[in-house]
This record gives sequence, structure tokens and C-alpha cells, in this order.
Amino acid sequence: MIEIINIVYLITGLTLIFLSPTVFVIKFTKNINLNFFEIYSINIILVLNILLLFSFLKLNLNYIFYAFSIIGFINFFYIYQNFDFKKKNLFLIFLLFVFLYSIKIASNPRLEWDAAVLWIFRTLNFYEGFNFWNLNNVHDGSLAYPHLGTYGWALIWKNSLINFEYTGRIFYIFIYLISIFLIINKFYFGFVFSLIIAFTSTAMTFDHALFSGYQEPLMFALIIFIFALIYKVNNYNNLNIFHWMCVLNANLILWVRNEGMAFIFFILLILLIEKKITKKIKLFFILSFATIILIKFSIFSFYFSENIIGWKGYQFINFNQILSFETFRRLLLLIFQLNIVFFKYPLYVIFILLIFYIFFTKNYKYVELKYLIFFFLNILMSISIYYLVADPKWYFHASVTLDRILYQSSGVYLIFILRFMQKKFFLNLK
Amino acid sequence: MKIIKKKNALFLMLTLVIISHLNNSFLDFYSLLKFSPHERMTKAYGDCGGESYGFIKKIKKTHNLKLNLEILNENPNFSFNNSLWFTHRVNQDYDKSKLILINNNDSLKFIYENKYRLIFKNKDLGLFKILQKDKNCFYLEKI
Repeated sequence: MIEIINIVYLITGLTLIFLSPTVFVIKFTKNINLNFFEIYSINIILVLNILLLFSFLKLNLNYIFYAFSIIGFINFFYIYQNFDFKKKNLFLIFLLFVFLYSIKIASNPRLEWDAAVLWIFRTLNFYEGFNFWNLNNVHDGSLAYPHLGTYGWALIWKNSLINFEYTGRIFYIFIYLISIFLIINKFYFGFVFSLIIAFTSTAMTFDHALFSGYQEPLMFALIIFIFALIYKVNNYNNLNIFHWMCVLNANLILWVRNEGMAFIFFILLILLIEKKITKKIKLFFILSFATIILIKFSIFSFYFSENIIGWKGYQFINFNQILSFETFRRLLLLIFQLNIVFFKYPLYVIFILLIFYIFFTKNYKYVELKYLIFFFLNILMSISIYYLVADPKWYFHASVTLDRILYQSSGVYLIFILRFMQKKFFLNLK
Repeated sequence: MKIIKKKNALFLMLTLVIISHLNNSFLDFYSLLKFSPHERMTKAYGDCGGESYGFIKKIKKTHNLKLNLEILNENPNFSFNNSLWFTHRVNQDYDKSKLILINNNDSLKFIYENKYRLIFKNKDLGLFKILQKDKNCFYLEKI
């Protein structure tokens, strides 16, 4: 029974932590109609950036938890009195989903491979009260991996009523489900239908193995947040909170996994080709993205002397080997592997089928170029990692990591699919 | 109007029950109520077998370990050391005189009485005595 109480306690804690700073967000978006999940996603971006900053200092995780919870509690009263809280039921369903998935983790708490040999030691570092600068002494042997997710994991674990690491992983479930409900709320189809979509979406994207200590679910959510922000950014010619949130979100992406670097390049490209964004703002994005990349790169280079692409010991093949028959044969195996991943995460299959449908029926009004660009760049990057590596065990790496790379960005296609459904079946656009 | 609302509530309840069932939530809930966290961890990682969570925790508890311990896993499916984190403490030294051997197959060669030679993955680690044993999991001390 204590376990159930603990889960409810931690979910309440997370709900309060990410309720702050709602007052600030509402103040800065006075004339903009934001729904509750949009406010929550902005709060998450802000709070995670603050936590990232805290991870470099030596601060007590209990104090951080209680301080944020108290601030969240104050925000709760403000929301209760001033905010027109529509779709309350959807939020209750969200909390129910967090509970259901948390008990799923608790009932099978096993950590998977990379988590048990790598990520858990970073979590232990923060759990035991050390900060980022102590990661040098951590056992895992891969200094170049970023740490933000493990800090959140440690924060929740440290404040759990029972001392087991899996309690901290509710952190990932909470943020992952916020991202799913953010999309569902954006394309609201009525309560019951939204509930069914919420279930189908989570059934397609909740991979228990990835919630066993991997950082992919956090990346999955952050990429959804940034895509949702791109829609907001498009509506404003002057710099406002959404532009800054885009940059802060990109910063988080960099500090969750190393692939984040590639993802924010793709996102920058999408922002640069958006017609509605002014040149001045495009310049702002280029400069700010360059700055955050430089900061992260400098910290890892100067302090750890490590910045890796791919995996530890990754080396590119020689230029003259790129088009050799021997290397070219890899492509077939990689395409085969890619197809396996598409069926593992069916959002890809649905996305591809929809694209075919749109092109065959010439209903181009449903297409948005940014999804196609993101898809092709993502596939290109994923294949290139294994195609260009000199490691003879490249196929082993592809078979165990390609799915994880593609999982991280798969949430984006959920936005495309639901947007298509809304336009085709609900708005009936002509 | 009330009947419609009642019908809606009933429909919602039914949807939630179906979703919970499809999600195996009832089974998860039952597992949480029936087994303690320690039992679930032991079920997930094995007592003596797999990562041997049960054995390692037992050693930690009964011997009140302060230092980190080297854990050797002979199971060929574990190319990485997945058990180390169970008792690991950051910035803590390793106890060079003791170690835990799990899933022992033929690493431990009997010499005489409580004296064994430990040859792990073709590397001779020296002579050891057994401090505690459970099936093929051992807590060893260097002689």
C-alpha cells in the first residue's frame, strides 16, 4: 500500500513542481489564448533549464523538490482563481495515465542495458548529493554523455518515500505524457474520442524498455514541445516568449543526449525555411542556437576533454571507402533494419502511408514541408551513423540502437497524423 | 438530461476499464499490492542468477559493507557489469580484498579446505576463501 501512496505523492509533487512558474507564463502571454497543457509544457522547459543550472551547483535535492512544490502550490491558487481551466477532465485523465504507467514501471522495475551500466551511475552521482563536476569520478566511463535526464531522475528518487531507483523514473513518464496530451489537447476531438486517441497514442509510443532508465522518452517529449512551439513562433513577427522558449528547449535537447546536436540542426533548418518567420528572428535563432551549442561543446571539451558522435570510440571510414561496394552493401541491411523500426514504432508506418495517400490523391493542403524535411533528415542521419562508421561491429550497433534514435523523434509524426485527422474528418476542409 | 449524463459517465467508466485492462493495469496493480519492492526487484534481477540482486543485497546487509565491491558475473550473456550499481556508492573506494562472484560456472577451482583459486575469463585473480555462498553465487575474500 505504501507503494501506491508513494506514487500518488510523487505525481502530486511533479504536478506542483511543473505548475511553477504559471503566473509568469500567463503574464507574458496575456493576449494569447494558451491551454493548460501548453502552459505546462512551457513550465517544463523553464523548470528543466533551472534544474540544468542547479546540476552544476551543489544543492540539496530535497530542498529543490520542496521549494518548487511550494512555488507550484502558490501558482495553483492563482490558476484556481484566475485561469479559465477548460477541459479539466482531460487533465484528470492525464493524471490517471501517469498513475497507470507509473505502476507499470513499479511492477517491473528492471533497468535495461545502457541504463544499468551507464545512466544509473550518473543518477547515483546526483542522488548522493554530488554535482555535474563530479561526473569525472563516476564509474560509467563515458564522460561525453549529457546528464539532464539523470538529474531529474535523481531529484524524484531522492524525494521518494521508499528508497528504490525506479520511483525516480516517474519523472520521465510525467513529461512524456504531458507531450502526448499537449498534442491531443491541441487537436481536441471531444472527450471520449480524445481519450481513445490518448490510449492509442500511448500504446503506440510507450516502450517499456525505453522507460527502463533510457533518456529517449525525455527527448521524445522535448522534440514534441519544440514542434508545438514552432507553430506559435510562426504567428509573431516580434521576439516574444515563444522564441525564447524555442531556444531554451533546444538547450535542453542538447543536454539530454548527444544526438540532440543533430536534432537541433534539423530544427534550425526548419525555422530558417519557414516563410512566416522574419529575417531578424531567423538571425536570432542562428545566433542563439550557435551560442548554446558552443556553451555545451566548451564545457565538455574543457572539463572532460570529450565530445563524441555516435558511440565511444566512433571513427569515420576513409573518404574513398564511402562508395565502395563493400560499404554500399551496408545500405541494404540498414534499410531492412529501418523497416523493422518502422513497424516497431507504427507512427512511422502511419506517417508514410498518409504521405503516399496525400500524394496519390493530390491533397497537398494536408502536407507541411517541415515534417517531410524532418523525416528525411532524420532517416539520413540515422543511416549515416552506421554507414560511415569504421567499426566492423556496425551491424550490431545498428540493430540495438537504430530504434532508439528513431524513437526520439517519432512523436513529431503524431502531430502530423492528428492534424491530418482533424482537417480531413473534423474540419472537413475543402 | 440526467439520464444522458449518467449514460456518459457509464460509457466513460467502461472506456477506462477497457483501457486499463488492455494496458495490463489491473495485473500491475495486483503485483504492487502482493509483492514488496524488494521482492519485485529480486523477481526482475534474480536472486542468484541473472544480475543476482537478491544475493548482492543480502551480502551488503549481512556484512554491513562500507566500501564498493567488485562484482564478477560469469554468465556470458552479461558482457557488461549490470549488477554493480545495486550497492555502488559514488566517490567510494573499492575493497581490494573482497569480491562477489555470481553465476559461477568454472571460475572457482578448489585447492583444499576453504581455499580456492579464482580464474575469471582466463585471468588468474589469486587465492580466495568463501565467506558466504548461495547456489553458484559467492562472497569471497582474498587470502
